[in-house]
Amino acid sequence: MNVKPYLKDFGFSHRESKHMVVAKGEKLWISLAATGGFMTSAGADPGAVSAGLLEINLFDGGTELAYTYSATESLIVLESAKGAVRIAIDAPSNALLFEGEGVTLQLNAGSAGQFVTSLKTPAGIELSIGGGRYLFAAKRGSVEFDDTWILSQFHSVTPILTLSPEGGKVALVAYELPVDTTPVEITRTLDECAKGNAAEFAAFKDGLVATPAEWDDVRDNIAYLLWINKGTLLSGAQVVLENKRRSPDTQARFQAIASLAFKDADTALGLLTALPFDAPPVESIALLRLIDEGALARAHRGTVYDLYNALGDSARQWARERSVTPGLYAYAYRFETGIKKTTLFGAGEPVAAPDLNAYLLLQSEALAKLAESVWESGDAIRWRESVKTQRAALIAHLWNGETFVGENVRTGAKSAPDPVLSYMPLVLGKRLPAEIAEKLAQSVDGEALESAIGTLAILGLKDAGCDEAASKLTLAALGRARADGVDCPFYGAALLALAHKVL
Amino acid sequence: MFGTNERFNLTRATYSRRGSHPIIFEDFNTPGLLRITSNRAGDPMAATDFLFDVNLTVDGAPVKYTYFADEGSLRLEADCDCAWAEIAITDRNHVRYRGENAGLQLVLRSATGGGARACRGIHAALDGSGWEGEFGKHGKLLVKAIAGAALATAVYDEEKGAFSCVKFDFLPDAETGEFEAVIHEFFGARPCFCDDYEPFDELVDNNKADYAAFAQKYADAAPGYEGIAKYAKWVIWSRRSATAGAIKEPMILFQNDWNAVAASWQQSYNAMPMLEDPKEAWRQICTLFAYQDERTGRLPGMLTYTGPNNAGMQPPFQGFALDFIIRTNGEAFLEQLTPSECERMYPKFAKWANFWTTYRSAGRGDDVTAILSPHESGWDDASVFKDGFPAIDPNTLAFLVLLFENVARLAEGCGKTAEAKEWNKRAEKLTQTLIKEHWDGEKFVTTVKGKAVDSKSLACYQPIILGKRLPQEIIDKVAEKLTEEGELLTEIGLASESMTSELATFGISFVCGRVVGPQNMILTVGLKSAGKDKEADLIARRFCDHVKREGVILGYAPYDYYPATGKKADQQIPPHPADGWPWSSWCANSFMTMATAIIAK
Repeated sequence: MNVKPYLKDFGFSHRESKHMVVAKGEKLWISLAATGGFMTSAGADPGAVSAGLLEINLFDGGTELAYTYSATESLIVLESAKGAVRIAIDAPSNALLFEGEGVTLQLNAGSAGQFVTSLKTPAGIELSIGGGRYLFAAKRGSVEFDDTWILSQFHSVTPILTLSPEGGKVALVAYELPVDTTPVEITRTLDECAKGNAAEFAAFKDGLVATPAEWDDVRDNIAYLLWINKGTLLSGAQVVLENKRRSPDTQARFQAIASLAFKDADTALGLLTALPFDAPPVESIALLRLIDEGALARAHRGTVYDLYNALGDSARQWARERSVTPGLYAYAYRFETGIKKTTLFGAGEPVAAPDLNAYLLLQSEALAKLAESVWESGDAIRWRESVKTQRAALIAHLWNGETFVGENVRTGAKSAPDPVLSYMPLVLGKRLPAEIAEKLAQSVDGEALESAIGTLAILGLKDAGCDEAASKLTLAALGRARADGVDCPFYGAALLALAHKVL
Repeated sequence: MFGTNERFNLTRATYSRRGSHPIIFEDFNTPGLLRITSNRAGDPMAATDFLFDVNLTVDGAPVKYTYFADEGSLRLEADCDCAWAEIAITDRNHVRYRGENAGLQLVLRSATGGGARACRGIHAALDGSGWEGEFGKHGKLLVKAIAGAALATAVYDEEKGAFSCVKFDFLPDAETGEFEAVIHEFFGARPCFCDDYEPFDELVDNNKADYAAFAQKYADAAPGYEGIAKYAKWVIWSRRSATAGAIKEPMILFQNDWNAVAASWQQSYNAMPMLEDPKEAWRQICTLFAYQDERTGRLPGMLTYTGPNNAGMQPPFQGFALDFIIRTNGEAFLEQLTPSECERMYPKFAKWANFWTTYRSAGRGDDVTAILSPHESGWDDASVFKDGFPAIDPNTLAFLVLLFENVARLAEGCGKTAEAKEWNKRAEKLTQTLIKEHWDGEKFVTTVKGKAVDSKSLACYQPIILGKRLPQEIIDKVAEKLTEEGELLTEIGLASESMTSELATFGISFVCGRVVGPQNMILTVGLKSAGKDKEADLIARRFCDHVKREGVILGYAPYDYYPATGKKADQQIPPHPADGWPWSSWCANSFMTMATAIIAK
């Protein structure tokens, strides 16, 4: 598939590699996934920003050549009037491979090269970037590189690596390795790496929930974002990152949403439990999917216990810190809603919000089912009672007859409805009174819901039996995704889940 | 100790407490204004958004104040109406406040013009326990009144999607005129905060007692240096980290100002003057081994609350520290090296020593190493590195000799006699190589690609740390060079680059001209170990006298002009805010070593 539209914001990469190729203006740059800022011996770790580290330039002798490029999920090709360079990733070797013909290849750090320590060694050229061992080894061609140390500036001169052809060809390997690690021999050709990566991507796509074939182009785009943006936490847990180019950080709520796109229950459960539950507490939407599909019945008992305890801790924290009226819970901070702007805080905080209370109602239901599965029957009964109390409180306090609103838990003042969060109780599906679901279905602005969190409400429309509204909104969302692209892996995951469920 | 009308104030020193995160300092560009932040997230003070102005208020309006701070608390006094407030930091994640006839106001104001953007929300806790504020990576605060009132103001700009104003006010009780308050810091779920706070005066006394107990780890300073030694010990005490995040046991942070890092080799620097507490000294030296790379033996260069930095690395300083401590405090310290302790640490030390000879091997088939960046030597811009890398640096070789000897000691301590012999043999061989190949008759030379680097750096004399392992003629020559006025020896101690060198700079530089504490300590310890007590004493006194005058600052420009060229120096004396040289524990521990063990008593 063509990934050129994604090169500017997300880059070309492989899910098991930190290597990236990104577009800046007309040119391509090589880069590394963000590792989190830290003061290295070279100063602030440029890998933490990852704006593009080394510009790729092509030369004919001393004359710089303009180039165009194409990019698939497995191969980049730069073409100039005099020759071409191809780039692919060999993930098992932590290597970025370059092969070119008819041109001189140059990698130039430019202004990004300040505070870099560089060193020409027998193994290749090392740059103090990325927190590991960033090593460039020429396999064919002759290298020019100045590693002069500038005493008064605490760094080397700007790194510029120039590889002139030998027999008309150049070949270069960029390694990104843990410190003090010897690079391994590359055993596959560039073409074999590209072919293998394409096959891996195809297999990854197959692991996502099924969607109608007529939307395969949208599916492919979303799959690419989910595929390359893999992160690994210190615990070893694998997560989906919003954009590995920009940050290695993520939140639990996004993992819960991402899990909805995966067929395999173990993968979904792994994402769901990768991080401690946070706000907004949407994990139970994903968890109930797994419970209702029987996935947890096949899971290890210890896993179920851990899940039950973790979810219980979350429930108790909400009850302890954010509840005054039984069954009604409040946000204290805007960011807890998971969306940037909301009208729900208009009446002041702490605010009992309709989305929060819907999520926590599902949390109680999930806890009841988990309690049953670990033979905690007494707890199960209490959680089911809580579901009833919460449902009653949600409707009594936050339903104004037309829509859901927020309520200041101190003053009782109501906020104006929110175009997204007022519709989030739709996640309750058939647990909502039919007339409420119908009213919401009639007034919902589908475009406003086109976000990772908002899409959960459209999923709920289907659960609530509002099939027509759900279909209409799903098709519209898919159409916009086709026209405008998808710029967030989590929204993409939610959209795949929607297409799978509704269509 | 510090105050508006004291010799030292909080513009260059920052106020903190052992085992805590809050830092208070006087804004250099707004004299008289104290500001408070936290080192937990590792942001430099000059770039953090999590920074509060501290206003003393009378009838709700800020008034001018003076301040005085000691190890117990920091007190603010208004010019009028007997109005005052006091701040005491605890080691239990909270800060206590009290005042009379005044209130205290904390206003969130980013260091970089970002206003109140560090705040993600404030609300009155539903259980009535106080005001809770959320500050992202800086954690949460719970602000509560113990007497009087605590109010929070938080104005949210819907357009900008950020808070435009966040402040906390502590107001006195209308009847008593007093207030007392507390701010807790925490992450995640709110812990249960019990209300039985100790009386404020008791907290202040406890802080003082805590410092006094810590100060017992040090021997008495030489006469005349007792007063400044109190400051130095306080700097170390107040930079002793909390146990939080990635820091699993207390370490000494370098300083509070740029970022709160525990630098690997500095833990051994801190161990050196702890002559009255050998157990603590040994623990300090061993701290970073908990983060050792199992595969290679590498120790991380730095550690913060957020994690270790495995990319950078610092010199193998542990042997030098152990050599000094055992020479100075032999029997008492050696009691720490029990067989089980030797059994525990020998493999780790051995792995660290072998890391250097494996991954920094100069490729000669022996233990000679070549470093790949100046940071691996500790001297980031020493002129010995002007010809680049890889560089065979005699200082690293000297550190390795001492490390090998102490690895041998640990091997012997756990009964591995044959291995101990081997380590000693390696130490001896490396010493001979160092003398034969890196002494040019006048100084020790660094080599790059087989060629000696032409340099007038102080680093050229650092292998004096080998003491009497060196031939007497080398010892005599080094002592002569280090006491030659106008070359490396200035009125305030040894400069890091000769004053006759055109490369000497006092600008944005660390060790290419400035007189810095660690180098003066290393060289004077080396001279004394070589029998050159008089020379060591002379140099140590010059540096320590300057610390007495100027404060516990890492480095100083010795002149306001460059002697080699006559040109005006680009950094003026005394140090000013732009040169980024705050008080630091690295100077404090170097001073303490010199004041307690080098300067004659």
